[in-house]
Amino acid sequence: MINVKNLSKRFGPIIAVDDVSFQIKKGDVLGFIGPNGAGKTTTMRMLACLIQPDGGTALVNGFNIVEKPLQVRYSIGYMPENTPLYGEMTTLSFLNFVCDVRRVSKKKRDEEIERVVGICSLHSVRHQTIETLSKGYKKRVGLAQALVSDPPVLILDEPTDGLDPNQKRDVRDMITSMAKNKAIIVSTHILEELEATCNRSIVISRGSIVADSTPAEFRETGGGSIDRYFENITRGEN
Amino acid sequence: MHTIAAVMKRELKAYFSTPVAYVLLFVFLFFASFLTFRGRYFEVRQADLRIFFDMLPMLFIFLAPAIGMRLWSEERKTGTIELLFSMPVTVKQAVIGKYLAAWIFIGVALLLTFPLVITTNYLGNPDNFVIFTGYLGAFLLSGCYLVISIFCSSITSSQVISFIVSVMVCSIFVFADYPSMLNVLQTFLPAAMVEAVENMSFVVHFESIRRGVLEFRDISFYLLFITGWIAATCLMINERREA
Amino acid sequence: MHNMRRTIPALILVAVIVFCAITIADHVGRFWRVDLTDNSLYTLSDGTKKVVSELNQPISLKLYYARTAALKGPEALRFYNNYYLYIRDLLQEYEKISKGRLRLSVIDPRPDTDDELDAVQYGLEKFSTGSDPFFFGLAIVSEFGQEAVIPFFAPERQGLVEYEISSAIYNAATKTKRKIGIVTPLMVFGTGMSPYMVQMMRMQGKEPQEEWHIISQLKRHYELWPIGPDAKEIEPVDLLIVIHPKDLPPGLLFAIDQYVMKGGKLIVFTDPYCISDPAKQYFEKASNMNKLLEQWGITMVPHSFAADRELGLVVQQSQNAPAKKLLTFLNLKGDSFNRGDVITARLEAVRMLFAGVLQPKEIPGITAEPLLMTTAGGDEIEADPKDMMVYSDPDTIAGRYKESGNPVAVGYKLTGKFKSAFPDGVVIPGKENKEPEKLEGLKESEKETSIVVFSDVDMICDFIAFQDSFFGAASVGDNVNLVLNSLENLSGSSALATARTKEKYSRPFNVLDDIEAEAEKETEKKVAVVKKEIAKYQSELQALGSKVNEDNASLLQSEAIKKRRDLEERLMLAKRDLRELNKDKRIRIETTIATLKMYNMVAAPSIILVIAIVVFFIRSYKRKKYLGVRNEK
Repeated sequence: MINVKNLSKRFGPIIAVDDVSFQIKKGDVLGFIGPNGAGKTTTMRMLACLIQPDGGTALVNGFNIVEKPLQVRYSIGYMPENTPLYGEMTTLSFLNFVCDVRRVSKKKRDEEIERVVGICSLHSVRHQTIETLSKGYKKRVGLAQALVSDPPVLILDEPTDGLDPNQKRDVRDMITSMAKNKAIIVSTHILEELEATCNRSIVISRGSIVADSTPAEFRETGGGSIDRYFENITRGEN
Repeated sequence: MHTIAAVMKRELKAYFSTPVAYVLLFVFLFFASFLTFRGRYFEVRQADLRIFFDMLPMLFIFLAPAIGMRLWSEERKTGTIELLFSMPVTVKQAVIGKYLAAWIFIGVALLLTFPLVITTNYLGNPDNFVIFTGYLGAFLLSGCYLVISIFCSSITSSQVISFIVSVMVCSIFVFADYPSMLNVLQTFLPAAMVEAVENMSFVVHFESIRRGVLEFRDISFYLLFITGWIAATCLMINERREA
Repeated sequence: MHNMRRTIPALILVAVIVFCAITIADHVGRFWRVDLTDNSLYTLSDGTKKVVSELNQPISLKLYYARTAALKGPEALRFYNNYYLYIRDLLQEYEKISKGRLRLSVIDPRPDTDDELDAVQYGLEKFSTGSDPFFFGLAIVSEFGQEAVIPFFAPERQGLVEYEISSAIYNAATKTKRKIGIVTPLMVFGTGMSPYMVQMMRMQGKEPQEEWHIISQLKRHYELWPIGPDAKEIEPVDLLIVIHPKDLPPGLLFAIDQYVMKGGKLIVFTDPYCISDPAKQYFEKASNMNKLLEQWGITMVPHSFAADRELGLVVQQSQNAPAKKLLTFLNLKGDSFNRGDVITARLEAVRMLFAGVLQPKEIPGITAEPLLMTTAGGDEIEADPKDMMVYSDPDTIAGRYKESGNPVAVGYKLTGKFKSAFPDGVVIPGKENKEPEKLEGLKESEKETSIVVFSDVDMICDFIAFQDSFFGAASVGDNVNLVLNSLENLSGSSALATARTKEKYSRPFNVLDDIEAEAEKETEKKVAVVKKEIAKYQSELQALGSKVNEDNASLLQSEAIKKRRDLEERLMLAKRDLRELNKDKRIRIETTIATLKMYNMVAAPSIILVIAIVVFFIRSYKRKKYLGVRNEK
């Protein structure tokens, strides 16, 4: 589903992403971990065609991110960091707008909105303006937005950031429940989350991939502790 | 087209779901009639809207930036610009959609000045064709102010800065045909250039259309002007959308 | 920010492309336009097209506009700058339809250059605005060196500008100006003094006579020939104008008669009360030419004025006097004009002061059609020469006014073969011991001709037809157009007559005018009653005064004083009533305006408010409804 080849990006003198390559199949949930500023978000943004890579390419759902950005975006559900949303809109009108943009036909519109509202349990806040919602609900709206038109690829940038433990669990359950038919990339810096949701994980530090395996393997190599392992590989580079 | 319409619809909804829009409309309508009456509308006793159209270019200097300032600045500030462009929306579609929404908003504001038309028709027998072309001209004119405002909005995430800058730029184009302005330009530009600059003035191009004469060069000026600034806005957004 | 390095050049490129595209489009498409105004105000008229298409030689148009000076000058010149652009476009349109016979050049005459010298030599008006002289005029030069000039384009004359240009082109192309004879006892040509002399005379308290503006205006397009009182024959002119024919000697009358018999065209301005006449007594200011006109089918009723409440204008007789409507000061508009005749077809507003009443007389072979008339509510006010008040007091006139139900004609056009008013010739009494002279002439017109008669002279004088503006006199309303139309129509080049009256001068607020008229009508009777009372009290007071002066003063005094006080009080009350009645009119207008202002400033904004409130309620209702869903869960 996703095939990343030698992707790199620099901002002036800073190399944000340096020669990153990996592949993801359908059914994979890829955990993207690394310290802050390691290049997770930049990589995801490039995959979502928000910024152009300086070098390398990636194929998403068979479309090249440089040449066919629009098709790529059709096949991706993207949830940005901090889940920015149009605060003055109501949940329903916001989802309607997303349906419009993602070309959900008029007939299927109600069904589709009902589906994502169901997945994210947003029934009660349909007509509430988004800015009045709690953080948990905002995240769910952000997620619902990414699910509209059922894209085959989901890219979620820190989906559980700032939620309470219950809400975190809810979001993780949602992700695992959808994993079968999709390729999902989740970025996080919470290590338990990796084990709970992902079947693959990539550790990224200073723009390059330092490890690519499963969370279970990490635990093994870290002597039973993922934290230890994470510390080793990210600090060890220094 | 579909996407442009979607963006436009969202922006329009956004306008009318905040009190700011209603306040703006209220203020505009109040001043539109107030300034018309202060311009001796009832004393001159002529059944036309000359006085109204005379003061519109001044009123637009403030109205259009106030309407246009939030278009991109707000997206930048709240980060929704990232959300917007992660969806299958191109920069061009987004810019045009937002621009059209704001333009329609101004159009609505202009339409709501209809009591003046009714008053004039009640009091005398105006040439309603001329009033119609006057409104058409005013709408095109407002489009020029607005396209400047949307550009200024795209360069900064602060609505206040966006407002101030666009008021300044709009004023330049309004006053482009003032002799004092031309006199300054004349000191370092050749005569043909001075004339070309004079030709950029909004007011010069508004002149004949509001008298009831549709001229190709006025219409083409408005359309080219708007297209040019739209292109510039697209460039700005394209290069700075991640910021 | 590294991206800006690419963006800035791209932005500059966009700016340059747009700038060029706009400039190119401006030049390529300057003639493509649609004129949507009611009367096609901004499109060249058929008359102009005809004049231009009949040109048989190349003619160059030199537009002088001191652009540099205008830019340096005061901000007020911006007005002229916009008008210049209009004129330039108009001339370009001429150039376009001329198929190469007209060549336009735009010249910016800088100080101390050949251009400036040329401009002065062509006779363009030169104004000093700060350091540089200001020019804004047109010189038209034909292949044969024939020149025609428009010395200055005054924006106030925009309505006339196409006619001025077309007729200047016509004049330059046809070599000679048409000749117009003028017969008048008035000093229409002025005393021809230098400005210095004029100033000297003013210092001595004498008012010098300046040339009438209408004459200056006519001189631009025609060659004017003054005809003296002793003339016995009119030289061959293209047209004859008679202004204020007061006490014309029989010889001159005969000459005019014979001029018409030979097929000459004639325009007559007569007046029962000509303010511009320098005669001392008001009853000496009348003129008429009934001796001739009666024979030709029209009579001006002596000592009668046309009046109309609807058309009357408001005047203020002195600085502190209240403004009153003078029913004999007519502002003709709308249906006052005969739309079927080319002279009046496109006029909008003509003002006449104490105009006479014209009555047609049926004469076989002659068609008489009214050109100007009052509304159906017009009336003839009889003005006995002894009755001074009718000549000076608006209230007296209003008091005598009754709606007649028939329009009163104040302008007529006669066409046909006329019969001589001197079928037996005329005997001219000899002067200074000379033998009386007997002249005989034609008894009937040789060919069909036309005569236009207006029953007012003041309508062409400076204070009615013109107003002073920053750059000299500007015509007011259509008075000048009416004269030019008549001249043009009679002297033949009818093509030009349609090239006139571009601007729709006036679209007044009829409703307010009606309210005023109605209020006046309603209070009319009351006002008359109150006025009568006032007059009665005043005369009683006077009578009382004269009684007291007699011997029995002491006896009657106390009683008289009491009565006097009583009368004075009543007088005061009556005067207050009058004021109240007049105030009523003003209040009606003011309340109407206030209501309209209210609707405008409140109606639309409150619609917004209502919408906002409705939207708010709908939203909160929906929100509450679905909050219930959460509770169930």
